[in-house]
Amino acid sequence: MSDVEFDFAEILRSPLDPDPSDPSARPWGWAALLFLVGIVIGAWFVVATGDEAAAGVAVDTTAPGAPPAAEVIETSESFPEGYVAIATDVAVRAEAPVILGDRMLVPVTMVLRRGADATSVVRPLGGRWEMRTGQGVVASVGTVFDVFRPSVFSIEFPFVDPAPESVVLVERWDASPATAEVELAWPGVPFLSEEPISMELTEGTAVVITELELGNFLGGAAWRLEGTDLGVVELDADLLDEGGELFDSYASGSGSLDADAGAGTIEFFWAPGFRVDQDEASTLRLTARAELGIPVATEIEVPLP
Amino acid sequence: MRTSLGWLVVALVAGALVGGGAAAWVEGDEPEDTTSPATTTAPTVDPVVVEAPWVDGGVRFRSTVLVPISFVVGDGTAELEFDLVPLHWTARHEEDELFADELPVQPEFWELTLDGGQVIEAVTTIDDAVVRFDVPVDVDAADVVSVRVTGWRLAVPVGGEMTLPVEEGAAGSFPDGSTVEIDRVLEQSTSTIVQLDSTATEAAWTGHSLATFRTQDPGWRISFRFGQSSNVQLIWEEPGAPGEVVLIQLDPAWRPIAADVVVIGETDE
Repeated sequence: MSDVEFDFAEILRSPLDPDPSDPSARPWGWAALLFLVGIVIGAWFVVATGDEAAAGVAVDTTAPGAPPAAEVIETSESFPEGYVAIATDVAVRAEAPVILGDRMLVPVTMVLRRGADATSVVRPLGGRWEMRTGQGVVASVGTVFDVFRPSVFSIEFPFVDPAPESVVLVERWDASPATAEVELAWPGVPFLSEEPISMELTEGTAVVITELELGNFLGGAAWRLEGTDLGVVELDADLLDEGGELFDSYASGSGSLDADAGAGTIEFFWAPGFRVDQDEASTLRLTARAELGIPVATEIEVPLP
Repeated sequence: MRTSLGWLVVALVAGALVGGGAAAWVEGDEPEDTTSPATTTAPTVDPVVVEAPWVDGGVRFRSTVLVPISFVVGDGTAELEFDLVPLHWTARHEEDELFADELPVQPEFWELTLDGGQVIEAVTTIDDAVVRFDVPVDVDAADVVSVRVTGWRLAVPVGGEMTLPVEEGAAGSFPDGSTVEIDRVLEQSTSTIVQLDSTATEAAWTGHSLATFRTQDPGWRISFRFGQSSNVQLIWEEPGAPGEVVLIQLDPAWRPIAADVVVIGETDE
């Protein structure tokens, strides 16, 4: 991921726009400008005269002393106040640690850069963090994600006393998407894979489905990565009819989110309309959607409140 | 190419005519003011322009923007309708309404202050889009000095673990206090079914009454049965189920955060 600042004016300029260096384009620009000035003058004249006419009958529905929205979102900053950028389009804020026995969790919320397209910004898979205390450096032992809330996570440390004043991201795991697909003969339920199913993701990396079981209503899969230890995998299980058309799909539950485990599990649910006719399908299509981790060395300090 | 002064004058006049016509059309399209007296609806809330993932309006706390939609006072009630807009990704299941609005930062405690200094409190939870204050019957919008959120909740992923022996009556709890108890163990010829009772400590915030978790051992299949006793089943679909099961909590702990954020009214600054 690059830290390059973009010139938005340049990006937003259409290739159909006249070249600003072309002198022949400028006179029409003056005409257009005056046209716009004319619009403003004309509109102002009508509104101003209209306001004067209506001034005597206006009803003010705004309560004195209660204007709306005291704190308005900053419009000139890329990220909200209090957030520290950890990538081009992503910033984080850490909260006071939560102590659970011998575990210390530092909750973190994430935000996107203003204007960033949430559908195109890839969330980092995680990273390695450190706490720096007067007694030395304490490395994180893991990260806890929330299956339903992808913008919050907790950094897990062993308990230390007193709590540090900041945490430092020392390695960020950027996500690189990769997909693979395989089709298998479908004998009906219950389906139990006889041997591991290997699917190449990129040159040198693959996901191996070590276990796959699909039943009438439930199912599950276990996977491991080869060629890398960083990444997460989701799996789609679609049933196809004899003509190759989609018959129906098992719904995939959320898979493991531990990006440095190199392996995980996925639950499946057969929920479409309580159908129990999976045996009429003839092909099982598995699609692995992986996010492979790319470690990026960083040194980003995030203060604790 | 050259442009004469005449063309520039034509452009100016044409623009004025177009602009004046457009303004007159908009003015003419404006409905007459037939709103009820100012004592029932105030203050006026400006339209919010949503510019995903940020918004030009509302108040921000952490990664959530609270956008006031309307504020109505009358008949002993003050109602503020609001929307919560994330400054981040929402769940991967965006097409699934069940998970689409699961924001980790939510308002909880509210205060409405009247010009006499009286403070009226209200509480909202994760599913609420309206906060209602019980105010004196004779109060109208002009008496309202401010509406503020004084307490928030933050979803903290905990990933708490619980190890249970696979036997009836075995029980345990997650760090947030949610409990799991094994109700029945049904040994079949080729499988084992373990029926559990689970209870979420903060159902108002988790959005469901039972604790949600996954098993550390992928050999266990999980079936949640909302609204029933023995509301979770673990199924080991082979002979010889393990003697214990490790459960890992999926629900976050909802941590309260005190922070005074003015939604309507003037700040102290």
